[in-house]
Amino acid sequence: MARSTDPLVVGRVIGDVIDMFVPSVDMGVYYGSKQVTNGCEIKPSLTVNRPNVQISGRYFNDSLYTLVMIDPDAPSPSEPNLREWIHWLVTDIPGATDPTHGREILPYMAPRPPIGIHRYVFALFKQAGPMVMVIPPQQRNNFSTRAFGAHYGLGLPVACVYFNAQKEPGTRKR
Amino acid sequence: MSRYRGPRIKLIRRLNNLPGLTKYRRVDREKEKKSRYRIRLEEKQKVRFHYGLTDRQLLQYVRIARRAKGSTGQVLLQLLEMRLDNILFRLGMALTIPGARQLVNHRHILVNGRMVDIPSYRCNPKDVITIKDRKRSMNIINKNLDLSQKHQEKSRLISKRIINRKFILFFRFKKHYMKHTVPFHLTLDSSRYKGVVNYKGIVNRIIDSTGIGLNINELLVIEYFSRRA
Repeated sequence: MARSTDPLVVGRVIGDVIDMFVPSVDMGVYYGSKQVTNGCEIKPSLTVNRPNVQISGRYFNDSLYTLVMIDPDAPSPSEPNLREWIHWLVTDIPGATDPTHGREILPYMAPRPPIGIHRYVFALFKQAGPMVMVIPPQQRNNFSTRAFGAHYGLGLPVACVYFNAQKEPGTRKR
Repeated sequence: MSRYRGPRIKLIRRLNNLPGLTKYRRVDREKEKKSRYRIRLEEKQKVRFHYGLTDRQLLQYVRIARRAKGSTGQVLLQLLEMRLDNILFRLGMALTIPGARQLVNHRHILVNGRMVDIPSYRCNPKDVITIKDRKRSMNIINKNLDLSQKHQEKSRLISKRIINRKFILFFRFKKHYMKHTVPFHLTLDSSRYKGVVNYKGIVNRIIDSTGIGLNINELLVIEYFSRRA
């Protein structure tokens, strides 16, 4: 019985958030100097400001991308009844650039996990053309990345990365 | 390290069935509103008493699981399942985990031909677990392996007689010996030598989430420790 070693499968990102896909674009996500790698742990205090996202790949000519950042473990991993909580949504990002050149549909919201270890997933979709009339979600909870991709004809993601975060213990005074 | 020596039925009344701790089973269940903290605490206590750990040991396992790649909850259960005392229990060489713990402590068990007396010893794939070549050691384990089959029939008869006499309302707990099935990640081999049956346990691979014998939500345990780990 062969077990998958893909970190997205092991971390249940594929299944809970997105379907199996073949990565075709390189996406680097950096919080300051720290690069986000699949399954790495980042303290919420480091994620207050929006990350620096670098998109690179082979086919760039006129390619536009959509970036989604979601939390599939809201409010707690054992009872994720607010799954998925959307933290950031940017469309029309030109290839070989970063989200600052795109159209921010939903502003960045820093991760603040209340209880347990939460996964924060960055999914990058390739657009067929410029996205017109993108309706911002009314609320951040119960967002569906799959439904969003299907609704706007984005198909499967072209890149994905996730990190873990949990509430930092407060300074206890005796 | 200290371990729980108190009343076991008192525990399973609160935490429901813990097959590693005792063969007694709960029949009735009370329904009451539980706080979010209590749900997580009880789930943690289930794991703690089933595997016979202290809070500090369990916290240490959670920290190791958090450093590993992959699902923290699954890694935690894999670490606990690969303990030597638990593997003896899952092989059927002991009826409970405290019983398995005693076997290890009393130096009846060899791992890869070497005597191991640490119950928390972490087994690896391809490890071979054998019994010390001593008549007393053989007798203890052979007796344990035979017990479950005999007691299963006996237990069924007792409960049937009680139902016929309409005493079932007063019968809250019953001793329940299930027919022991060795999980897929372990193999129990037996060979006859000089008229004595020798048993040998082999760890095939690290356990998968489906093979874990305890009905718990490991995410609740991780959530309980998320402030401390």
